[in-house]
Amino acid sequence: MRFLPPVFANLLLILAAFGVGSILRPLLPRTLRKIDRFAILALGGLGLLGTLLFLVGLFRFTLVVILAVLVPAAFLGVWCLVRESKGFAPHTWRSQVPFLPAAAIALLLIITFVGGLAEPVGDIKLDAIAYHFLGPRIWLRDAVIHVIPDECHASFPATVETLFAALMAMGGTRAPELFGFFAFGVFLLVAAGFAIRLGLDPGGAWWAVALIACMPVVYRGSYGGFNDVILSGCVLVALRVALDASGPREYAFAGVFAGLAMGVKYTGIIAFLLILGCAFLCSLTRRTEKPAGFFAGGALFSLLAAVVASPWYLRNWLVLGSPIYPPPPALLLFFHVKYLSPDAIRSLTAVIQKEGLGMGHSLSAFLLLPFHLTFHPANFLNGPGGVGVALLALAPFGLWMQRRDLFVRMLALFVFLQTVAWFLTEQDARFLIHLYVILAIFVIWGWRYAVLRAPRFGPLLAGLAMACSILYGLFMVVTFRVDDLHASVSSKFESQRIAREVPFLDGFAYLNSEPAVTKVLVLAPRFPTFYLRKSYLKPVGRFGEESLPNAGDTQALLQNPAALEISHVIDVRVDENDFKISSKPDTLTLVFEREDQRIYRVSPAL
Amino acid sequence: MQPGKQHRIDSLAALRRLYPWLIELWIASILLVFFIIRVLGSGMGQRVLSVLGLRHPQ
Repeated sequence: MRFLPPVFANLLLILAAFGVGSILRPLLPRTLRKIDRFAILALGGLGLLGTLLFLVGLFRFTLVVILAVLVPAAFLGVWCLVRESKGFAPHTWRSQVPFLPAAAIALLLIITFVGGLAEPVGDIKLDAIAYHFLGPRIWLRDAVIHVIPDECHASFPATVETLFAALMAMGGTRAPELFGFFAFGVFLLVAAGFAIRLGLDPGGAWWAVALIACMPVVYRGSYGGFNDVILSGCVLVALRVALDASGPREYAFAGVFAGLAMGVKYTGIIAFLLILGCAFLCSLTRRTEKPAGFFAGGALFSLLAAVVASPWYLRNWLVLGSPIYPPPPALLLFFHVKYLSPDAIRSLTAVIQKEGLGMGHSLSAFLLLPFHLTFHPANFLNGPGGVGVALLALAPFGLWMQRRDLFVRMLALFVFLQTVAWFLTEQDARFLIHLYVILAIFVIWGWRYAVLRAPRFGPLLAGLAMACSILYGLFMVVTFRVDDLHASVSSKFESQRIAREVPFLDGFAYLNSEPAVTKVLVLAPRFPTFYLRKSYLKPVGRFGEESLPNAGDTQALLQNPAALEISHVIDVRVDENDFKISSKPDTLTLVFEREDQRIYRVSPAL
Repeated sequence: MQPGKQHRIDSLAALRRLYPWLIELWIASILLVFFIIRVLGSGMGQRVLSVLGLRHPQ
């Protein structure tokens, strides 16, 4: 029974996504196949639905409001699916399904589905607990989508997090974990469509998709609060349609997806600029349309991208002082932001630079990047497991084989420029997922090239490279998810896991169950408030965010706790930092104590 | 035929004969390095080597 709400919540959401996505149907390029149409309508629908829920949620965000948006959209989705299914003949391609890649994909989807039913656990070091799931929990508690002053990362563009919030409202905290299954499935459909656009037959597309699905880095970007596969899916659709565009309708369509990418993650801004540049070059080289035609199309592309992404950036600008929040130091010249001091921004930037250093920014590090990503992926943020061996072994041959195709040349340029941008900014392995997809498709061409040009050992070696990548990837993915799978099928193990991996569990149990607790003052910046179901005030956040004036002075804050309207104070030992309250003021009474956690009740003002 | 041109033709022919070997060498060397680093170098690989007595006790 505990699994039914998350399953139904996700089914309703995906149907609603098709419904909202159906508004894109008039813009769909006519050259798209059925598989592309399904994938694009679902992906675009998810993005637009997230944006719509955000706009509605700025005013009111309750279960009733969410259902009022989702239920009519789901009915529209059923209608859209019925319309789209006309002429869809699955028996025509079923005979072309190669067993091995289909089995690998099926296994991964089953793992993702079953593992997605586990309750999220972990400490604040996990992004999901720190902010991806924190925002949704707070928005639902407060019945409105608002900025969270003590967690600056919750102010990132949050198309996917808004969907998490809708899922959480309907299906509890398991539901956003299960969303990984749908996100991964839709992403793989987008990748399959891209493979077919690059000239692969259905059999080749299956192998390409299996290779992509089995890349541990790609898989990591699909679950546990990460939104990278949605971002990469939007980038791939925008790139493909923009490079193939021959008129304003296609440019407008690509612009919507570029805007959705920017609404999912800030890195979408870089992708948007690169897609625009590559589409311009492609249009110039193709010489089928006049430059004026491209400029009109490019303007439409940019305009629609800006309109679709604007809610996030405008909200940040109006409420927090900068469209990009937290701002990079260069933006401080133009914007004055709330809650973050310039020093806090500089130290946050230093943390990001340190975490995203990868194997350095030198020329040699850039030239050796393909080798580093293949052989030392754990040296990159979120890179453990890597991308397998086939990309390096076979993709260069595939690129060489297809080099005369203009679309391929533009893709190669995009891959190069995006890699440079990534290399110079933050080297997080997840941020290149769309490039791994493109390269994986070239792997299949490279495989065929090796078979053709080196007939003696080429087939064996290329097959070994594919087998190594897929089997190693499957092993890594199962390793990632083994605890999730165990927790899904065993309530006893899940309880043990929660006890082991949720920090300060006793304190949370007390605060969440005690009726006298109305609002909690959280003193430790790295205290995982995701697990706290009551209203709270955290004066200082993880990166030095200050939600109150003079927030760092604990003693001054505790002089008059009634002014903060708090009922309780929680003080914990976290990350080798001692308790913040060394001598208890008279205004507080200790009501709960464990080795690393103390809870005080605020005495009523006399 | 001029000796220079003949030499160039011979070189191209040699390269063409060598080309399949180069493809195989590229793939094989990457597989080998991957096997050494990612498989033998992993925790499980090290444990297997220990069981087989192929790893020097630390």
